[in-house]
Amino acid sequence: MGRALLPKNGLRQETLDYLRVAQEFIDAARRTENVSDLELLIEQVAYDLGFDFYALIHHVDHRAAHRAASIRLENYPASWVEKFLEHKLYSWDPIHMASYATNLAFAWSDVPDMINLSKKHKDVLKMATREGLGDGITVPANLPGEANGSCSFAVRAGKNLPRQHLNAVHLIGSVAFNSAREIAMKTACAPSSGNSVHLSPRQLDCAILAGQGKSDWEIATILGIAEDTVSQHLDTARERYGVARRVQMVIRAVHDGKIALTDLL
Amino acid sequence: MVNIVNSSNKTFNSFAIESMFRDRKRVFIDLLKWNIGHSDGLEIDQFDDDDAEYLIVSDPENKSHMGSVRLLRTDRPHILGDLFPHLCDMPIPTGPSIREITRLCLSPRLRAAERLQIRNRLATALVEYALLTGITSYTGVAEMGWLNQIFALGWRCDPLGIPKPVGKSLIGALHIHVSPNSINLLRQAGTYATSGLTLGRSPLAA
Repeated sequence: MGRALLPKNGLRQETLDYLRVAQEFIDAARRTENVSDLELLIEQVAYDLGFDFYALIHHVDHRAAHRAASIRLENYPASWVEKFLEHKLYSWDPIHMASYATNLAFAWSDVPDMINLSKKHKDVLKMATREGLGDGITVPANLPGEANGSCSFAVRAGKNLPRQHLNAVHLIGSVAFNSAREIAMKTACAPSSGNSVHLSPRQLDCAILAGQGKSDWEIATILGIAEDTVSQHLDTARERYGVARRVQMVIRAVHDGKIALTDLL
Repeated sequence: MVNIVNSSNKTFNSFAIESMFRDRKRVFIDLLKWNIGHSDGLEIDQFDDDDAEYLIVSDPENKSHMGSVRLLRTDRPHILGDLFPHLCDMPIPTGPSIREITRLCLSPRLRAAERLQIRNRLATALVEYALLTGITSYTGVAEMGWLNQIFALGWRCDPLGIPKPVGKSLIGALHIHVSPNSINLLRQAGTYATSGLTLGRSPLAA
């Protein structure tokens, strides 16, 4: 109905077009049952929005074989992907780093304003450009209790970024990531909470204080319990995660959402 | 357990309600710095009237507020229709079978694991409440930083427009559809959490 009243061109019309692209993508993604269909959809939506590349990934070491539920879909230049994995550049990827600093879509060219870049970070960006990857937009996907991830869309080196569509990209990137995540979860047959470890409230208290760097004696004094009891709680929590050191246990508890990073700061 | 609180049982639940308004002040004004009014440490606005309904999770021991949402009728003044209509790039979904989810608030006292649990219980309660009362969908205005979490709950959620910057944040309008399959969708996403929601229980029988 109201459509005839809208101007044929200008921002409003463009907004409607991008909303339509987003909606069609969402509807199609919802019907998708497997990863390869989803890949085609994402590739198509990337082109529709004026991008040349996409990458939808969980930020984990993808060379590890047991990562059944982790996602890695991309069509970046092959030579770049090879270098990236081979030299473990993900540890120095400033785009990944910036994606932990926000939950909103951002342009790669704005990253120097978001985080401090070291020489190593800048080298990664330069290398990417050399391999043909230009500017891009990344939608962070940091879900509590799960590995961090992101969905990025990028243009060829030298081409201008369709930056005006940042907010539409935020929408589409979030939907894309979630669709991929749902398919990966179904494939792995394990909902994210399925293999979770249980910690008692007291074990959690001790783990948080240990994570803040408190000694057993300090934890015992703060909680008003015996030092031996503290050690016992921490040992049990450690055993439940099947890890050898306390620091590993604390990190696991942060990773699966039992402890917020802010609890430790 | 999740309780439904509305004008018919408000007085009976006055402690839960006040505890909720207090947490809303802490969360939306103190933490998130929303530019909204408050008085005596309580965040109450013009939509907290007799037509508003609340789903509230209270601490079983000390009865204090752990998490809540406010539901507004969309055939009356509501946030999307009256404050942010420009977030919809299509006609705003309104009507007697559509409610607006507003003021989703998790107590700042909760730890990370509890936050997820209470969030899941509220989402489950929202689906169950809709199925029990003939609500077919919810609308809502959300900060886009939460978008991934909202999608990841598993329910069917569509954007109503391209998100737009408001002040320092990016916000967007969403439409959540509820059908009998919604419970399955929550289960598949691992976010279903028994809500204990019941309808039609009179305060005296409780």
